[in-house]
Amino acid sequence: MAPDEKEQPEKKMTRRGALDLLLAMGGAIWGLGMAVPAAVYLWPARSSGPAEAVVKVGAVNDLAVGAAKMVQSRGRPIIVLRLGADEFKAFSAICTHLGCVVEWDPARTVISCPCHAGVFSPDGQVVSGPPPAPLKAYPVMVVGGEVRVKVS
Amino acid sequence: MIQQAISTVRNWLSDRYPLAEAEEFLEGQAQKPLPAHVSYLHTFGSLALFLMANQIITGILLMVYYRPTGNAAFESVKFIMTKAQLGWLIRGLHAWGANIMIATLVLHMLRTFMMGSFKKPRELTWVLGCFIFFTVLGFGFTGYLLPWNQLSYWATTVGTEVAGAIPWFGSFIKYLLRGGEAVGEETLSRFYVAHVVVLPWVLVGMVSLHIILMRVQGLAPLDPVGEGEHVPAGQGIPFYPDHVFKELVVFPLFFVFLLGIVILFPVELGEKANPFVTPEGIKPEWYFLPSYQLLKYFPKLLGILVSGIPMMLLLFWPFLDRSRERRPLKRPVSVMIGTVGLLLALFFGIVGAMSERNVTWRGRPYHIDLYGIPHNLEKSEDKAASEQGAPDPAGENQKPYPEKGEGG
Repeated sequence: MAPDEKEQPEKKMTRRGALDLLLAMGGAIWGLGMAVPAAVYLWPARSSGPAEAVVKVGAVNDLAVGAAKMVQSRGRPIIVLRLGADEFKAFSAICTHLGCVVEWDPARTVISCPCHAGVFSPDGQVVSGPPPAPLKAYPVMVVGGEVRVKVS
Repeated sequence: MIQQAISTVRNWLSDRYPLAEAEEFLEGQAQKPLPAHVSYLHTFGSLALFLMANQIITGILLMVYYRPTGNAAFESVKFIMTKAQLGWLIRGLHAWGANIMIATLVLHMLRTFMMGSFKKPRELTWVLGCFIFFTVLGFGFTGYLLPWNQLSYWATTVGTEVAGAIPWFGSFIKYLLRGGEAVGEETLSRFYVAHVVVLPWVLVGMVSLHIILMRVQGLAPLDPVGEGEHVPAGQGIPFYPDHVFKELVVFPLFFVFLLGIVILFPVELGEKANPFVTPEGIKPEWYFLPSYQLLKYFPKLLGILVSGIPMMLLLFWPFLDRSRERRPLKRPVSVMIGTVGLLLALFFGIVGAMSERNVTWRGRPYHIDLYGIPHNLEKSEDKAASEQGAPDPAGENQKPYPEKGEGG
């Protein structure tokens, strides 16, 4: 068989070869046609619904100076700090290292991560530990005695 | 009467199917002689298969009561543990069985490594075995999330975040695994589907091929590559009954051991997952501890590369260790590398388990930091007390944290 195959140049297409090729191509197209919709289906759907641009934290008087409060925006935690009478800060509470939720440590006045000992300053900057980037900050407004965080 | 019924059925079947050939094939497989050195050490593979059957059966039973939704998952596992008859036993057998199965696979791989059984012509059986091992680790990772408790939620958050640090396509993988930005109900569905449908079929396929390859090529002898491959009939150890007997000794022993652990150390459930509070000292399962600990010493990307090296070495080992010798004493270098690798894994695993904990040693309290370095708490309390005299407004110097940016 082997010498025969050598004699036949590959360029020459037999009926059988053409059919095989057609079948293989058809199979590949069919497989792709099934795989692409499946992959698209698996791609996470964006969270729908109107995105709240402003998250209400609560009344100014409910948040003591030097205290912090956690609020949620679209299922993600936001940490709001009151550093002075009129000084508020808000950050995404998701640690930039491996995604754990940070906490306010009032005794040491730092934001700390319980997972890998990342420490952030009250400005959200990295003080120590493995986080590669500062916490994402959000603007805070006080409107009519109510603290609000602008998230988008 | 019964004999007659059996022969009627036999005749009916053999009129339609090649029954005699099938019986002959099975008989041949049963009688196949194994190399003379085959011992109890060669039962780890089939023990893993036995434990896999345990996982499948208990897994199916757990699915009867388990509900894979964010609201119901934790409660349904609680129901299994407290209300369902013998639910604690089924979940215990599944959770502990998984751990023992992984330990058995490690022993099976260790035996194969030490006896050089992975060498020519069985390289691909080893490679396939490595993929089986990685798939089983995938089972562990996806199954860990399903009880939807704090530990599982945060271990999954950190685990998928690590996957997200893979260059180029990491964030794509992370997003696809999580089914969204954060670990949530979507992640639970995805992990559930992977754990109960996708991975089981992948595993069953790979294990079947692994066993077929093993049966076709026969078990590796201890002789150098190319020698002693054929065990003449009448020599060696018959698979049945000699080796099967060994397996039937080992299976019940391990099962009783497993039952003992399940009863003495009940699997805990902990607190329900709370995406807004990360608990202190979250740790993965023991088999991920070495790479978990390694990841702490390196920046994310480098850490992934460093903990990926042992996996790659494992996978490609048959193509690196190409000497003809199989006996461990005749290939000291490769046995040394294997031993050092195992000891390193044990070392980093133990450091990982001990890290971020307070322990008492010789009556003194120590805090073991995340790098595994112990700090005497009495001393640091003195230090903290003396520092209180001097103002330290930023409060940055109380604990020996690494400097900023070290973990890049």
